[in-house]
Amino acid sequence: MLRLTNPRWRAPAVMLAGGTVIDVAVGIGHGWHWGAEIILALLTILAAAGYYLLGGRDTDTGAIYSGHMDERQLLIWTQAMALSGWVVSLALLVAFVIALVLGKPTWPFALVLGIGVVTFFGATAVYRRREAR
Amino acid sequence: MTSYLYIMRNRVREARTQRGLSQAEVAAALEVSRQTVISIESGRYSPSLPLAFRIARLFDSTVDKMFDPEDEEAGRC
Repeated sequence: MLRLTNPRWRAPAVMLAGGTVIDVAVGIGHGWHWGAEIILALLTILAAAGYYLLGGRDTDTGAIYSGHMDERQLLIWTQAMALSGWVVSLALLVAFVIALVLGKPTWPFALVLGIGVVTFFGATAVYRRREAR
Repeated sequence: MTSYLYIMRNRVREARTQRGLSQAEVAAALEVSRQTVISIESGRYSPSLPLAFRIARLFDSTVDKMFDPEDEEAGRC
């Protein structure tokens, strides 16, 4: 039976919801061009389906994609997430400096970077307390 | 950054083959993936303390007999 509480469905469901939101936002912001909307919707469905299928493989990647991880795979996932965070932060910093040099608005980059920094300090405090219990 | 991961030699493969168990059977008994059993056996991954105890119990042994801290070598972070 299909259950949305199954971790394997979570990421594809988030992808579908996110894709739909972006699709609607494009329609509202740039007008409803149905060809583009349908292509975007199809790409979203393909990405979500691909992610779901990858989660069914008997590999570390499959376990991570499906959300059925053991402790070693959870460590791999944590390290991958940490590295992703570093790369995104670095990319944001580079984009911020480029926008500054070009005299373009820098606030979107500063805002996202700020959210990342605040989240890091907040998460450090929360997880340190949890461990102490 | 200081390295905090240590790889210890272990006798998991030896104990498993003595009992004629497959890696998949051991993985099912320990509720971990087959890939994790392979990593532990090859010494690429050191299990957590709870998993180390489960491994020792599965093979009717103790943690200090299954894992050898004197053979530890520093891994990379």
